[in-house]
Amino acid sequence: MQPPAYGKDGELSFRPAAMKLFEALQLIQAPRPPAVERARYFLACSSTPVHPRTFLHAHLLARCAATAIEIDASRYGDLTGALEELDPAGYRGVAILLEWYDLDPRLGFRRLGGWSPAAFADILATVRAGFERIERAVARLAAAVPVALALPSLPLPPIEISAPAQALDLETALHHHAWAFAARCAARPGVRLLSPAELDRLSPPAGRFDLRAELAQGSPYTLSHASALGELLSRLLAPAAPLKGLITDLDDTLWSGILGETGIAGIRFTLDGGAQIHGLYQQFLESLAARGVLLAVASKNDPALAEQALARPDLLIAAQAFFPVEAHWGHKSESVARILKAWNIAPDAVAFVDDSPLEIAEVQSRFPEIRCLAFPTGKPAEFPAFLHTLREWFGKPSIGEEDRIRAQSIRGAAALEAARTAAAGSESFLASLEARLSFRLSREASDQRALELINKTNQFNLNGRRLDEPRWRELLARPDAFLLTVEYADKFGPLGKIAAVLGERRPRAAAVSFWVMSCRAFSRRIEHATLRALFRLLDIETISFDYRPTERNAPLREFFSALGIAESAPEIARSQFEARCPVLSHAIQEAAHV
Amino acid sequence: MSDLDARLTAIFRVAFPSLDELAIPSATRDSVAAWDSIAAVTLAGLVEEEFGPVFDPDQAADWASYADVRRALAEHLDA
Repeated sequence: MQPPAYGKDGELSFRPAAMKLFEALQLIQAPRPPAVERARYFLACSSTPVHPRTFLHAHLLARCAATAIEIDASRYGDLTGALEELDPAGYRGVAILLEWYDLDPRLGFRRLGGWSPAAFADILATVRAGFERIERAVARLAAAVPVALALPSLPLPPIEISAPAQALDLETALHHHAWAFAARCAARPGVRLLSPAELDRLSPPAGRFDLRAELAQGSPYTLSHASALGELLSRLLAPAAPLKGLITDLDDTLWSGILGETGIAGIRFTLDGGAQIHGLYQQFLESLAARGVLLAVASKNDPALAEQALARPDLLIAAQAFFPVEAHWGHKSESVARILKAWNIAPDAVAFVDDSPLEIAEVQSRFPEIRCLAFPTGKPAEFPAFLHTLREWFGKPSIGEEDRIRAQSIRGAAALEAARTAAAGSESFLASLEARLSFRLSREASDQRALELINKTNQFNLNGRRLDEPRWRELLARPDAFLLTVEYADKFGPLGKIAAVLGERRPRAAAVSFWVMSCRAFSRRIEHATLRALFRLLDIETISFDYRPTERNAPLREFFSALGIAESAPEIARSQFEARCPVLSHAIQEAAHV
Repeated sequence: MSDLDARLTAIFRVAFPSLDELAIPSATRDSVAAWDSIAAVTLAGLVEEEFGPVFDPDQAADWASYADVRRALAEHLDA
């Protein structure tokens, strides 16, 4: 249920206990708060789906506390037909539990079709054709809803008579077809392939198959395997939002050794120095940075010494990857506070890594929401679990352009703040930014960055509501729908696509249902320019807003207040906006493709 | 209530959540509308999880009452 090492104490447990059937049923039956939304999923599984459905249901509930979950399952014995007939409308996602007998019944234990070598060529041809049929169905479904796909996870019957240690031609050819099918499916945007490696970790192959229950009930999965499948499929269908930033210690964490004692030349992070896990950690951080994760340093060290050590050319991560670097002798919680301010993100989106339990406790006491993790200094056996936890926290399926420029834009924001402090007044300062805004009006549901913004942004957020992909597509398919996206750049660098507005046109008016802007874009009057662009591009006189106060959307509330937009009747006329709008000095580029 | 009854009652409570707790000891397949073939698979799974894989699924499929399950478990535990 929980990612490993999800603890506030930094303790690691690589393999969490699987959810039991008893617990799953209790979770499903427990009284829940009034659901704000309902979500239906479809489970395609050609065996008796009782246990897989129960576990998928329970794990989805565990991940989506405020959602009422329903699971529909396919009829017994015809997975491919069920996928071909399935209408994805109304479903939040589709989970597919594929097994070898779905591709050819001779590859199961309930059918007696012959295991003669003379049948092998026909079995292979049947399997290949089966994969092709399923792939077509997956492609159609994935264009509408997320599809979580599990490759065959149960053992093949002993169809080839070889010593069990040896794989023969048919087995290797079947796996070749399966992986080729998986690669083609995984390349499609809506398909999320269940990792066989992660399934092996949670559910070792020897404990998956229950032949007794398969023969008696058509239910081949052991309870523990059904639980693992349910957990992983739920993670694919309802993934947790990845963390945004990682704050790391230096001594005995980023490298082995105490800088103040060993000196810059004495720190180690390689195999021959007996400190390989520190080098691997550097590599991992470098990879996180390339994926847009913000990195910073919080270290009790001499600042000049830390700066020189970070500049060592043989480090596996460049010093520029870390911003800010807080190296001093004060409390680490103070460093963390300053880093959060520079990043302008909430503590619950951040991980803190340190080898010292004391430092972890000090940071955790001030920031209970931060995910703290102990670096396993001197315990290389625990290092895989450590990396696994970081993958759980930061993993995301793809990297966008905004991810690549995020760290650069954070630095730009800090430089901008410094320049603002130095400037005489805000008007002259804003005018000096050479800011450029690009507005794009469309109905493009393929804009994943806009959807990501809606689902990640908390502060400048009209109502805090989130959108899943099917609902997103449904809203944009409406004839009067519009999506306005905003990109920003100034002399400090680009911020990329930082805002999105989703709504519907009305006669001479617009009704805005979603409006979000990244916190990296605050204090540049982009929100004012966005409203002006909406009035102009849509040629309207009034904009109404589906506004709802949340615990964290004070920035939007303050913006509305400054424009005189009442919370009780959240709308604004063009004349009112122009009368209250401050001077805007952005260079504007607009495009409309509605 | 014996330890066996306590464990089995807890199982019946989650297998048949609409069943009144006082009615559990006298529950039969005929008296509990929710006791269908699907619920029978769930019940067998819960018993296996609590007591281990001690019954064949065919045997579990024949259970028609709380008393049946209790008797089978008692025989197993005494054995």
